Amino acid sequence: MASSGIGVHPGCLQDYQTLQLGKKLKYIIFKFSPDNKEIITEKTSESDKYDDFIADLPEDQCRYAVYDFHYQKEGAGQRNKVCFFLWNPDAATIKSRMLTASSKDALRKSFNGIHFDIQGSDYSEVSYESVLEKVSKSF
Amino acid sequence: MSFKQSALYPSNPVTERGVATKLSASKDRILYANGKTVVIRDLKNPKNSISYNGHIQNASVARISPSGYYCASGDAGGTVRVWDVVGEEQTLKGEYKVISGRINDLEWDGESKRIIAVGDGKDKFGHAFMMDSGTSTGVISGHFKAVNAVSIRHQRPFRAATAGDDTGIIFHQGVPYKYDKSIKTHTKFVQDVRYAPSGEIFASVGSDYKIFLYDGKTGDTIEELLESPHKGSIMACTWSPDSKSLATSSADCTVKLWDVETRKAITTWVVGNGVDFQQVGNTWNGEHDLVSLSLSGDLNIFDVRTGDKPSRIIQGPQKPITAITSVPSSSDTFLAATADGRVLSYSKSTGDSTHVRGVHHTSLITGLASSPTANSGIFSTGFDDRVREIESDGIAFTSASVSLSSQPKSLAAAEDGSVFVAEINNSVEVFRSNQKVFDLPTKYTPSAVAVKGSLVAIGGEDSKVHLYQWDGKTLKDDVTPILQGNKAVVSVLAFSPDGKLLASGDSSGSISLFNVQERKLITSRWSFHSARVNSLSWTADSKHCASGSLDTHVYIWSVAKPMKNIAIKNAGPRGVNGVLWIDGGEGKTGQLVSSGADACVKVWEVTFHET
Repeated sequence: MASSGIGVHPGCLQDYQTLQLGKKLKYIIFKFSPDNKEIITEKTSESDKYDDFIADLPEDQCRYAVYDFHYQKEGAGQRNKVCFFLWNPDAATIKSRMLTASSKDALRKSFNGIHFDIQGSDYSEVSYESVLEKVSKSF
Repeated sequence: MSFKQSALYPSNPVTERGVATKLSASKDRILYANGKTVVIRDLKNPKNSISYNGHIQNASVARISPSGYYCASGDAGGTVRVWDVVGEEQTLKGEYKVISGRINDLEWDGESKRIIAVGDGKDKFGHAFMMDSGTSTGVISGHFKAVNAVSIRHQRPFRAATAGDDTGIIFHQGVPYKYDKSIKTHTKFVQDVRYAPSGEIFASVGSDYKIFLYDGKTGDTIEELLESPHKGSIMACTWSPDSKSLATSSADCTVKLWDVETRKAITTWVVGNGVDFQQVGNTWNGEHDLVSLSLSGDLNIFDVRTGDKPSRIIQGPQKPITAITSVPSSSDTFLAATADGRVLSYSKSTGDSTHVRGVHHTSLITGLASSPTANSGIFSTGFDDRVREIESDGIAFTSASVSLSSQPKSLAAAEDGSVFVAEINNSVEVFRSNQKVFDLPTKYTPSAVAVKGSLVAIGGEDSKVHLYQWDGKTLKDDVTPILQGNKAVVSVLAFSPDGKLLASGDSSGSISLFNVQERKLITSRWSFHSARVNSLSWTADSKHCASGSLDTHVYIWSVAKPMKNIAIKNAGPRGVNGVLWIDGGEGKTGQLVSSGADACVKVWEVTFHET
């Protein structure tokens, strides 16, 4: 398993706990610290608008995110799935894209109870419809 | 016609370089894994040890609950089994598949109700659950690489610390256990984390040679133990029952005892020099005894009140036992050979085992036999294609050895000190005093050999037993060169001590009994085994023969009544490789040892059928 050696700031784990157990937070966005030594939380939000979340993913920079995805399953009521996003836009520098891919495991594996991994390199891949399609394929 | 297991001489832990081996203690016993077997070794009297063979994959760690009633053991497949240690039956309380990879450590909470198991997994690295129902009692999160150790505060409020290859320690609050904070003190793999019995403090050790102390309730780092540090990876730490001292075992071949109040090393024991003496695990036993495990498998027991060296060293087999033989010059001793080329000498009375000293084989030993006369020595041969001699007292290998032309299958020693070795390139070589004296090419592939007086029996892959006469110089065909009775590859041959009978076991599990004087088959009714017969042993009065087989069973056959037998079912998990009568055979009772793939030696008290 390739790993860049970049660590995870303890705050990230705490924020994830709040999202998972508190049911209040809707999404968290993570980024690299300025010195590229750690992954830190950029933003936590309680907004339930998916568009707000998409708007928080910058066009030319890489991000990680956790989103508590709610949807209506036909004839089966409300469902929610916690999704992990790897946002790797084509417009970002090659260096940062490689760093993001190789540091993913440090963050992703620290989180228990993620239902889906979603990788996006442009906005069509993280749109509400495409995420819903992927998520609703399962139960 | 009955039998009863009277003793078990246990194996030692399996070790791996650079990987900590988890030991644990409960009263006078220590627990560890050897292959698929969990061993509970009684330190005061090794004969009272217990083995548990419930795991389907290799076991990795075992711990007895604080209440003393149950044992939880984990394996390489991520399964935890909770079983009863009080009764004989080892009843399974529950089996839980907790993670997808190897379980590296597990721990009971102070109430003996909950277990946290940690290890290597795909999506998660640990799980907290109830011991009786498997219900989750929290989430172990925050790690992103394999977790090496877990420790639980046994007092309320419950806390748990986990440590892993991601260099982090995660502090959990309970119950239910959930992430509280991550502690970044180490810079390399964290190998072990242990709470003191008082719950006030816990310690962590790692591959960065460092030791840290933390507050037991809050998880705040108190201090690093800086004075006289280790010079190698620290693989394990353990606390004294009074929570005042901490012992650390390191790959720099030393064990250190720390006084926690003054933060100073009180004692440093240097166990040895070289890779074999790297310390890979430890546990505290009783008030004063500290057990530390060498990479060679030796368990070093230190009395913390005395300095300089271990108070005793426990040796035992690490790998499956492949053969057993008696030591003619000593009635209290027998020898067992292992799959890693070692030979161990066992004491019947104490149950202790020690390695036979000197240069040993480098790989699996296929043959081990003693000459019937007391002073002619004991011989072994193995996949390193050499024959080595052990001095007749069974303590050390002699310095000389001879090499063979190909891989040996079986070995037998005659009264005159000649050694017959059956080899796979269709030849039987004969050695005496480390000199090759004869080479017999055969038309068949020899697979077993036995000798009595001047008569040599060689079993072949052609399912026949071939007889030869040995005159001290050459092997000549006997007047009746072939005995027929077996239907498959002859795997083992044994002459009765009076020389009148020959038993021949084959790879289909049946045994043919021949009358040697008349050179004819007496019976082939001894066919209860369902797989290859690996070993045969006659009682001294030549009235009974014991057989051990790959089908895990041991049978005891009667010459007078070939229809009757005594079955010891499941005597050796995963196959019996050696059986030997160590006592009796005169009359009504006898004492039999059996051993095999589980590396433990079992002693059976057998009462024969009335004749």
